[in-house]
Amino acid sequence: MKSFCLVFALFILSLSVHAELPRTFLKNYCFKCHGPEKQEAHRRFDQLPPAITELEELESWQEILDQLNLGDMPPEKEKQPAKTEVLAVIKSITESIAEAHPRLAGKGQHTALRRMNSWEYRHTIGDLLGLNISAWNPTENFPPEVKVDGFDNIGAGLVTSGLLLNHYLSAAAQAIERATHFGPRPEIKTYAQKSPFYFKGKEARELPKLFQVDRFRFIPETPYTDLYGRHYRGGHIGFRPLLNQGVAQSGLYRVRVRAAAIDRRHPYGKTIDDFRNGDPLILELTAVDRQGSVTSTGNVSRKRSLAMVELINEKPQWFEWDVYMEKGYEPEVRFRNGTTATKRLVRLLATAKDVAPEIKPFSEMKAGNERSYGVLKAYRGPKLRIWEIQIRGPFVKEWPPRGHDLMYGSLKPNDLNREKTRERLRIFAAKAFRRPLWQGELSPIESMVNRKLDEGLEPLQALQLGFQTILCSTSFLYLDENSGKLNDYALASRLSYFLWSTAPDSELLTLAEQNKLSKSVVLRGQVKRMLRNSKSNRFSNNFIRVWLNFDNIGEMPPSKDFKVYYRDNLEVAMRNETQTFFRHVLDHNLSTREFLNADYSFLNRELALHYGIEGIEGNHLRRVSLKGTPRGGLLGHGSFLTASANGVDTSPVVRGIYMLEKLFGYTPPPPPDDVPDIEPDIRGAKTIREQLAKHREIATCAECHRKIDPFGFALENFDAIGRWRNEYGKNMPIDASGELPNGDAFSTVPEFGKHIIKREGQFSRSLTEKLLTYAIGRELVPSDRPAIDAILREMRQDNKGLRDLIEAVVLSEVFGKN
Amino acid sequence: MYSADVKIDPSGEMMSNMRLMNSHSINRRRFLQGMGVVLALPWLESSMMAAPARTKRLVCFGNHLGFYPPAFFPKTSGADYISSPTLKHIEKHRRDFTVFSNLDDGANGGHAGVHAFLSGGIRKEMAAGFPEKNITIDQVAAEHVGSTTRFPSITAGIDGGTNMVWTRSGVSVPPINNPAQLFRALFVDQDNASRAEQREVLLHRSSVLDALRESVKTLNGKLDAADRDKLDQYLTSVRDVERRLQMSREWLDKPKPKSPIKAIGQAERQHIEEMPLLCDLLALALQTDSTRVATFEVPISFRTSELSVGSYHGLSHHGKGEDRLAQLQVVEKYWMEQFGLFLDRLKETKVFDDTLVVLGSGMSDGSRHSNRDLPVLLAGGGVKHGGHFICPAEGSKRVPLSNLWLSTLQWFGCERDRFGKSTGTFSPMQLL
Repeated sequence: MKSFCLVFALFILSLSVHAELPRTFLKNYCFKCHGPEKQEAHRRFDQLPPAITELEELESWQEILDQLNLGDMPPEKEKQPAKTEVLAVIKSITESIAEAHPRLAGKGQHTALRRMNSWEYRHTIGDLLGLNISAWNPTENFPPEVKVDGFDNIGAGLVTSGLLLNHYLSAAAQAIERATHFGPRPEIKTYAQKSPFYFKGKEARELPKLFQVDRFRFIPETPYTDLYGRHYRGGHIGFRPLLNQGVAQSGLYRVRVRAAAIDRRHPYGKTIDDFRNGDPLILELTAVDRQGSVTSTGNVSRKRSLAMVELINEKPQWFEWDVYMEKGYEPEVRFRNGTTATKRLVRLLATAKDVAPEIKPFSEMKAGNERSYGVLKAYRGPKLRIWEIQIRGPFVKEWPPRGHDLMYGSLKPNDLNREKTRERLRIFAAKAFRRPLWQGELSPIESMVNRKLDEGLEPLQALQLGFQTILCSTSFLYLDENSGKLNDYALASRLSYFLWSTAPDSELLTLAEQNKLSKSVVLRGQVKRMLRNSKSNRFSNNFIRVWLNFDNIGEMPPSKDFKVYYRDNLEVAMRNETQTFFRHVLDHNLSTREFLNADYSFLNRELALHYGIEGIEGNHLRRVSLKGTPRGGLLGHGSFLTASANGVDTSPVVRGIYMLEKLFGYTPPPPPDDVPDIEPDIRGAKTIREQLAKHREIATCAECHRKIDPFGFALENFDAIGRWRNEYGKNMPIDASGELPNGDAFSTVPEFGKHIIKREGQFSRSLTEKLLTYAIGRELVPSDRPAIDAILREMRQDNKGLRDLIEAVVLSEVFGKN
Repeated sequence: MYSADVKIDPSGEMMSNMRLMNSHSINRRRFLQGMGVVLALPWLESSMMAAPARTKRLVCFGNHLGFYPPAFFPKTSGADYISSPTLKHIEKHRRDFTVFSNLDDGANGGHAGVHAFLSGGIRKEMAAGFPEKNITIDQVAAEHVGSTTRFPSITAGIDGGTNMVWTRSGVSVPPINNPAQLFRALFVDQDNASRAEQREVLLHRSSVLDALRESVKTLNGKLDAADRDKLDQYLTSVRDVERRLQMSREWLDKPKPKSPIKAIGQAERQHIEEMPLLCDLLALALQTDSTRVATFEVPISFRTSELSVGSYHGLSHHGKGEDRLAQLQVVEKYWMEQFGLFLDRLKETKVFDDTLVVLGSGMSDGSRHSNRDLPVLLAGGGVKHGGHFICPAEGSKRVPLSNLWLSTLQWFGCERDRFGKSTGTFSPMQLL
């Protein structure tokens, strides 16, 4: 008996160590569609060998395992295996894969020499040279980066070209020039201008159009000037003291404006249809570069919005901001949400069917100054009233600024000799290359600079050429990641570009120097520190952009027919909503489940109205409950719904694919070559569901589409900009019901939402994979799976949230090596 | 041409004729629509021809949203085809162009497939797998011309264009969309001081590039194949910039041709003003031999509201609705009229017979988001035009559009036997 038990025990032991691949099971339930006769979705399993020897085979078995775990295969209508059989098969495949991973490890787990992308370059230059890269974007005209699966930081995919190098040379030269300040600390100056802001006669002749009296701009008898319209004429005012030169120095300026909101509620009803009666008036402070960007109409094209504020009081108040202004820029005050263009406003009022009594005397006049001024002065509608504008600055914290100090220390141009030049080059290069210099690394650049000095070039210019070269060299532009376990400097850079999109700071570099960074406790501490720092917004905002493909909104912007989208600045609000939500989940370390089932979001008045929620005032985002609405989690976010449409209409197939890719990491195979295009026909009374009927009728189409279409149909009640609709128009009600591949049925969005929440596991895995891809700058391969599984196991413990996930990613084996 | 090479003069120039029109407070929009011609420009006499006779030129016009096929393609074929609603707007040029049915390169992806129009169906996503990546025909032609002209090619368009032009390294070239900037690039010489400054900059840049190349050699030798590939890309970029630097230096001291038209200054212009201005400038560029290769692209963001119709993208989703189709026709009429004017210019300046002009799109029907059976038209070039040519088709098999491109490149003078997805040259065309 004992020996039998021993043998039996050994037998069991050996079974579990050398699990057999269930090829008979495949033959019985899978070969019909994935075998010699048919290869649905281009998958074929009858040729898989008895043991896993190649990465592709590993991938296939992993896919089979995933489908069995999901219950999606075999499809409902086909022969179904017994539950115990499925469980046994799942077990044996799982074990075989686990055993194969270490055997096949190391294949493909290498990030190809990874260039910083434009986003990273922009911040690296900004941080290195102490430049404000919102005011001056060095990457403004850079060619767009190549995307791999939506990610634009994949080393193997990024392209370096002559065009880009040209841009680098130019950007570097400009950055160096902007950061060089040999002059004395700039004096703080104050400028002020009281109403009037328009001028006439001889003194006005040299002034830009904006400052000149015209049909819609008059010099008031009052001590204030009213702005009436949304657009430039009669809606913007300029600041004469800084006209045409702008501020003399870049820096922080305190701007004050004395203003009030008059007649917010107006009696003109539908006549002025562009303005929601009673809305606060928005004052926008803008910095403009008038030189070279003023157009024939008088407007400016180079501008930057500095601040916006909502006004509700009729009594004048001072509004104050500390804003960064670039040298040469001058301020303008604008009535951001004025009813309409002033010219149009006058016309609407004067030609209305029931002309208001105060307007009547002017409506009969001939068009001209007397008429327009009359109408505007009598107008009892929303006006932004401005008394005075003041500016004081620049306020600089340190002098000379940080970037200048890095380049020149306390040296003056006359102090630069050959030795000092070499020293400055070395200091600069060490900081720029993010690691100690190698022996002889700078010789080519030093030689070049010396040659220039020999040729008689000014030492300062020669030194700057050296800086420019350093900023275009491979050691600056590319991340240096050694093969195998990353050394501490490489780890510092990888970590810094992951969470801050910039070069490592001195704390990280010091830890690297001391060889302490790779210790888990130190690494964890650093992740926590970095996430607390506001630079981590560069990570959260950028990650969301690539994850949810927000660039699609820019490329396929909603059609101008969606007026509310532009008037209410919805794109900005939507992006902010999702960014704020992500940040909220991160800061509070909430479970990643929040992305699927949060019953709240972050909305402002315009976005709330867009979602059909009343009672929210104010332009700023704040937490709003979504209980009682059909929205919840990411699925209800305007950004999600707009990025998954094409700017004109929705397509359940496109939305379905978007959802599967972004939430569950699954990309359906493309349609076969000879599929005819869908021909939308708005003349007939066919809904999109009726048109896609063929997806259900034809077996080969149904196979893939049963996995795609239901996800898209579930959201059909949301139009191309995420607004709820009950019908497509013309009495074509929307049918948002469907059945998921595993049988879960739904007829409303909340019901669908519940089924999605059940797929939390898939979502976690997908999000983890995306975070890891973003973090290491390469696509994941099957050999990465064990590390991902380990992260997910850790995350399944109690109370684990998004911050824990990011820590787990950084501490994972995959992150620490190349 | 790289826009990075061109500087904008901030002080602005004399205002164009448009400003004079403004001050008469005529409704600008109506004025333009009524006229059909924006500016009355004096044209060069043929004696001012800059290039040797029989110099070949190539121009490609493209857009993002295609041309509504039932209105574009004629119903009959041959030289005496019955004109289609869209083509009848260039009826006067009937004998000088050929329109092709049933051509495409099998690309798909709807919006994502449009950019493969001139690259022989090779999309940017798969470019890495091809030795020439997804280079477009105009860039092949530009390489062929090299530095013989000041600009190897000029890529122009509205707004940000539609990624129609791609280089050998798989990078898309953004179009010049500012007529003032293009004017300056073509006709305004820098003063002596700026030229001296520019010469110095070019000299220093050359040294910088040398130092960059030397620095790469000191890189750690432990690179695997993928890394070495990236480094090669970098070195190729350095060489590319050096080459262009050389060309810039060659041309720096050569004076630019005198402009036959009044200077075009900085101004805020409508799209329907920019398009004719840019096209006229392209014609002048060809005429003065400033370039022999040009492209013009119209994106999705083209402001069709200036033609008093709905948004372009919205209209392209016509869903066969009568109203939308009618509005779409207004847009396509405008397009063809502008194209017709361009052909007029080329004829007036006697370069038409040596200039092959391509018109088309990587999208056929915007409502179906189809990249099949693309609208393709070839004009000029002194070739024997055949009216409407219906290419043979079987099921979903088509004669590759790449074949036509290959023949076009051979006509241009490029010695090659393949392009994109070509299977051979385009036999129905007898090219001189």
